[in-house]
Parts: sequence; structure tokens; C-alpha cells
Amino acid sequence: MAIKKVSLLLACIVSLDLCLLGQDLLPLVRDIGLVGDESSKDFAPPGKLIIGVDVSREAFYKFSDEENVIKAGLFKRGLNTVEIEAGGLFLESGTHVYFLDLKAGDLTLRKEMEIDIQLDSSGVDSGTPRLVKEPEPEYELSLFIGDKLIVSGRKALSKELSFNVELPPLPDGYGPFYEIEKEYKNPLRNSFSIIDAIGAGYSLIKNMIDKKKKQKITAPVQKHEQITVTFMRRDSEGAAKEVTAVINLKVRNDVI
Amino acid sequence: MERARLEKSIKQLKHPSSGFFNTGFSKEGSSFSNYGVGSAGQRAKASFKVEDYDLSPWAEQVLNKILVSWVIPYPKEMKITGVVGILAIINKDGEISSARIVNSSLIVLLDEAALKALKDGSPFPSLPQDFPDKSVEAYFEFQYGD
Repeated sequence: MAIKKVSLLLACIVSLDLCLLGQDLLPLVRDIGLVGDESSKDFAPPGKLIIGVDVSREAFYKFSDEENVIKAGLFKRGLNTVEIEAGGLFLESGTHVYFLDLKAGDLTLRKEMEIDIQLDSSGVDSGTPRLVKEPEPEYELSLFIGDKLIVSGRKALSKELSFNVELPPLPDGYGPFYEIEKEYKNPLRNSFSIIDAIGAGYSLIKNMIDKKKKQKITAPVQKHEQITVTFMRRDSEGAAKEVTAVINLKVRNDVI
Repeated sequence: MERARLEKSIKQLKHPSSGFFNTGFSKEGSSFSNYGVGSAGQRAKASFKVEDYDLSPWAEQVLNKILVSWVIPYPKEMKITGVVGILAIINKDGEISSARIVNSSLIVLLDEAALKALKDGSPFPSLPQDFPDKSVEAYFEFQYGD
């Protein structure tokens, strides 16, 4: 009976170990997504696309398109990023296929990714006013003598505004000719209350703790399956048009 | 906040009550009360033939001095427009003996800023030695916006 129990226990331990070993060996991709704002606006199409790859363990990787290897290296456990040069991707709508090969020990894993970009300019000229700088108002001065215009000139706008900065009143004893030596001699101005110091120290420590807490709360890098980018482009006639690009990332099943 | 205050003050001052304006100044300190709202046609004729004398180099220096001291009294985003015409008598030594607004923008802020620019820009360079008159009457047109 006892032997049976021991052998059962051993069997369990061995199977659990194998199970864990298998999990450990697999360079498991937990998540893949596009990194960036879900929706953004810019004057130019994005120069690169960032793909975030979250892996459960360290693995060598090779990122390639249908022809060339774009990047290769080592993924650390956690979130890693791969940048794709995207200048050419936003010229027209289309689907672009990429491959991510991962290797850990003897195991290899291939992920196929499709980046689908759909451009929509809708012929709307809505972006033009944003590109055209509003004309600056002109301030002109002309000097006539008799009926003849002798000279005229324009006012540069750099100094047209005068702001009144209201300074708080100076404390007693402070004047325009502040005498440092006198102040040093005044013990009331060179001493401080211990209670105030304790209070100040407490608030300083509290602020530090609060800051640390806030740092912990910081949101992780956002990965999205779809992001939208709006940018400006000139058409064949030279008119600026707003283009909206919807970028979708689809990941195909693992190919081992 | 500042902008709102300015807009309010402009609204209030756009149609000022009579006697509000101090429309000019003179070297002696007596201000002019005759407030003109008119066109450039109101400009006084110079007492000599302008064509005979080239005042351009002097006028350029005067203009530059005024442009430097001209402060636009509102943020450019407010897009206020107006023209202020000031007739000034400038002595041979470059001092302004009198100046008055002959063409108002109907906005006190603009009128005052133009007059102040003229005042702050003075004294101007002396008129050329061989200038045939003791003073010169000059018309300054300050154009705000557009």
C-alpha cells in the first residue's frame, strides 16, 4: 500500500516537472500589438511603426518581411519592441506580411503578422486651413510731408505686447538697496523654528512617498490591434489633404 | 483674463463721451482740444515745396525711432483695425513742438498708443542744416491691422 502511494506521488512529481519544463522551454508569446496612441494626428505620415511583443521567457528573435530580415536579436522576458520603417507603407492602402521567428533552445516558433493599412483621404480638403498660417496683422506707419509720402515702415511684432507682472510686496525690512551684511547680523532673519523644520521635513518625506506611489501607478505601454493615424498629404495638384490611415495588426497562428 | 479686460475696455471706450480725449500735446504742455475725425485730406500743407528738398534720410530715422517706441496696446489675436493720423510740427532741432490727432480710429487705446509712440520716439534727429524752414509739419499715419 505504502509502495503504491510513494510510486503515485513520484509519478505526480515527474509529470509536474515535465509540465513545468515544457512551459519553461516554450518561448511563449503572450501578446503582440501595435505600440502607440490609439488615435493620433500629425502633419506627416509616421516614419515608423512600433510592434510590441510580450514574451514569457528570453528568446532569440528574427523579424523579417517576405524577402529580407529586418531585425534580429534577443528578446528579454516581458515587453519588447520592434520598429518597422514605415515611410513606404503609407503611400497606398495595402497589406504587408511580416514574420517573427523565435528560438529558445531547440524550440523554434514562427508568428505570421499582417499589417493592413487602409488610407482614406475622402477628397476632403479639411486639413488645408491648418497648414496655411493665418496672416499676421500688419502695423504700418507712414510719414507724409505735405501730400507726399516720404517714408513708410512696418512694425515688427516681437515687442507689441506689454505685460504687467505684479510682484508680491516685499517683506518688511527689504528695500531696493537690500543690505546683505545687515541681514546677517539680524538673528531673527537667520534663525528658524524647529517645529517648522519638523513640519517641512515631514511634508518632504510625504511628497517623496507620494511620488514613488505615483510612479508605480504609471500605465504600462499600450498595445493595440488597431490604431488610426491622421496626417497631411499633398495631392497631385499640390493641395494639402487630410489622410486617415487605419492600421490593423493580425497575428496568424503559430507555425512550429 | 488680460484679454477679456482689454476687450471690455475697448467696448467701453469705442464711443467715448465728449471731452474725454486728450488728443495732442505740445512742447509747452498745452494740449489740443480740437479733435479731428477726417481723412488724410485734412493734412496741412507744408510751408515750402517738398519736391525741392529731400527729407527722406531724416524721415527714415524719425520713422525708425517711432516704430521702436510704438507699442501695440492689445494682443494681435484680437484683430483690431484702425488708422490714426497725427499732425505734428517738428522743430529744426528735432523736438516736437506740437502734435494732434487729426484722424481718429475712434478707439482710444489706438489713438493714445499712436500719440505715445510719437512722444516716446522724440526728440528726433535734427533737420538738415540747410533745411530752409524753422520747422516742418509732418503727418504720421498709424495703421493697425490689415
